[in-house]
Amino acid sequence: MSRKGTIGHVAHGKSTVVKAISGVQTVRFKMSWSVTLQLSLDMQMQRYTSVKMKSAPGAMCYKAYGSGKEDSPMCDVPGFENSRMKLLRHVSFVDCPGHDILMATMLNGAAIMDGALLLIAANESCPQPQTSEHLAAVEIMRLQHIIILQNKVDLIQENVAINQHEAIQKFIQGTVADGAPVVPISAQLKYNIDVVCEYIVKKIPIPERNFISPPNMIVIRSFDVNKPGFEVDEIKGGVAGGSILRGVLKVNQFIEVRPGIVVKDETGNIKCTPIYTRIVSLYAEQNELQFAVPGGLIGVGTTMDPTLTRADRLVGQVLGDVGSLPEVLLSLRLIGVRTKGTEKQGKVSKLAKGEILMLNIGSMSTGARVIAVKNDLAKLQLTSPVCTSKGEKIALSRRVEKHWRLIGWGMIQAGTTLMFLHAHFE
Amino acid sequence: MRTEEVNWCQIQEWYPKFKSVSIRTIIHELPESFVEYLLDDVGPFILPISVSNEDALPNRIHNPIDEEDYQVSEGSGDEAEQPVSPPSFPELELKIKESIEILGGAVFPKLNWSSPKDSAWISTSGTLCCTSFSEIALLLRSSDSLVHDLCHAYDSCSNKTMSRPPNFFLALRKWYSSLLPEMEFRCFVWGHHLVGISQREVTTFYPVLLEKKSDLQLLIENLFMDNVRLNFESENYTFDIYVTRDERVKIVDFNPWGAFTLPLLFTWEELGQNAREGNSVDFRIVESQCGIRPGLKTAVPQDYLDTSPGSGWDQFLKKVDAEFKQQGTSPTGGSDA
Repeated sequence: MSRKGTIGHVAHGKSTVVKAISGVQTVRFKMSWSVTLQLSLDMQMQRYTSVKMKSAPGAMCYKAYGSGKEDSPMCDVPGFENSRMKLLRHVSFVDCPGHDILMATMLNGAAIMDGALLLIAANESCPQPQTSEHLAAVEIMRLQHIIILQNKVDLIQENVAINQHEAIQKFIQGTVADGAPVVPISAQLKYNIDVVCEYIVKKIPIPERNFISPPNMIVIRSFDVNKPGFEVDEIKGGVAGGSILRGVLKVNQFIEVRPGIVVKDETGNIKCTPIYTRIVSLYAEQNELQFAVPGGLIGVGTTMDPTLTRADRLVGQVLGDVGSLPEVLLSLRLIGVRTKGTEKQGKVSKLAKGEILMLNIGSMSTGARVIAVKNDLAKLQLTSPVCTSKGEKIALSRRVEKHWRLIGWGMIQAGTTLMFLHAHFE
Repeated sequence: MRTEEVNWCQIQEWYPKFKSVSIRTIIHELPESFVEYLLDDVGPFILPISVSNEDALPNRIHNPIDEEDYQVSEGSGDEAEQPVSPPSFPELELKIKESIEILGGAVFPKLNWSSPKDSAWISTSGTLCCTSFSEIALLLRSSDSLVHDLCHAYDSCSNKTMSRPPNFFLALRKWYSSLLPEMEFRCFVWGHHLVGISQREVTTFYPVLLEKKSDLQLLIENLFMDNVRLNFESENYTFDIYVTRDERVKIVDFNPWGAFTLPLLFTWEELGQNAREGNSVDFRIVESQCGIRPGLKTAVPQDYLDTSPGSGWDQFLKKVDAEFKQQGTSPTGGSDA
């Protein structure tokens, strides 16, 4: 099963497109949020529309049906009426706004989409302000499989449609969407919807869901839930909560937490000591688990000294199989660094030497100072050590008009590693 | 709300009076040049140059093996913009250094009203603990909470004449590393009566609070009656306290009733109702296990959170509604989330 996201201006007709493809009306989702950062990541926020993509052999046609349809219906293409269609793919459409994808990605640290349909309405100018942001979202999510739909072509004249088609090609040049097919469609009239289905089946590979790799979880909270003044043998170990990126965590498993205990001495030198400990419990919401897989936010009870986890002390750290975790880096060299100006600024502004940035690597946030920049390479000194690996994608933000604003992204090519002298066993 | 009520909540106003039941604090008036540095939007965010060789960032490491990989030279070929003139505040830095030493070497900073709780992610320790002026500057300038102090303090006031106070102050408060987040509470006062108490760290269930609730309530009420009631100028306000292991109650902060003050486990309507009905104190805590929720340290760029009018979320929702009207569908769907 692969998941596709539809992103783009709602006015571009997202729901109509999904309906046209699946024949099923998407159910409206309700978003809830609060002023503080305590947003619910409940994936039920997004409604899935499940769709079966089918083709009859030789018919060269692709159709999509709602998931209730039988698996092998008769083909309705003239000349092929006696052929049965074959189920090629289950596709789920997640209808959600661009910002929400970003939020889920940032906070869950894992891509939840395998491809994206980017919608542009033919009767509006391209690019709309949000289109570039949506492309940014797509890039941060590391989506490679994009199909651009030029919707509502029935509402405009042919030459206008062609001009816009060209404008779109130009706009996506050099972006992650470069080379993506641009398919003119009319969702209302179901024009070219079969072409879209064909692209989805042929161009977007089914991804692997990884339950096999050594487990890896980013810590986004940590607590000490003990009562002060307790008996020594009643101590509950520290609890860490976060998002499992891959693999499976099990009760009684031995795990490692990196960077671990981080200490900066009076001369400004930093040392860290990874923590080795054992899982005693796993929970999600009110449910106790024996094992936990990627998806959702999981609480991990351990045998760690609770002072190590008190008051979110371990936020930003990584938890996983002993000996399987990446290096701890104190500075990074990034490649593929691209910065875009914010809407107000317009132009691309270069990174300044000594400038302080916010970095987001999955759900980790850290600060960095720009040491040097050349073309699309950047060298950054981190405000605190981070456990991460080459190839990780990083979102860069700077202070603009008294807020942190996303300005670009880059990929880790190398970093200076922090050596451990010993480990801390709990 | 009147500006006087907002002004009484500034730390330089209330601390002298409540010193004996608060955390040890040294308060410095900030020179306008530093305030301008915090507000600056022209140049890039650079930390001030230290006159005592301190840096908020840890020392760089030079591993011989890694160095070979580092082709980005830091001399010529480096294309980073050179900043025009890096900022520096020698006098302020030295005064602050002295105060940090007096307070035991570790402090947490606060401006007139707010501390930079939302920028803890950027500090090396992941906490608000600062041992140098450089670390303080890093936290202050990275914080969105402080923008409230700097630019919007009087936004909700009916009689406002200025958009900012005449002076800004930096309070350095002694840092205690063993503070328990579950022992901080917000108390709501209306007409000089305590009407509500709420756990401050509302994202987690702490079993100890269930057990000790009535003891805690007594301690808090006593502090209020003995030290706060009729002592603080406003009739309606909130105050935050911390209960130590040996059951002393410390005042941490004062905030106005309503406006930008978060009601935490209450809504302002409920508190208003409690006040009007003259009910006894309503003490709310998180009473059962809940799932993991993201906290303040999962910092994301503002673009993803801005829900104000004109923001991406706001525009999006308006378009969703318009789209549904156009499609002739009613916006009530199944219950989601």
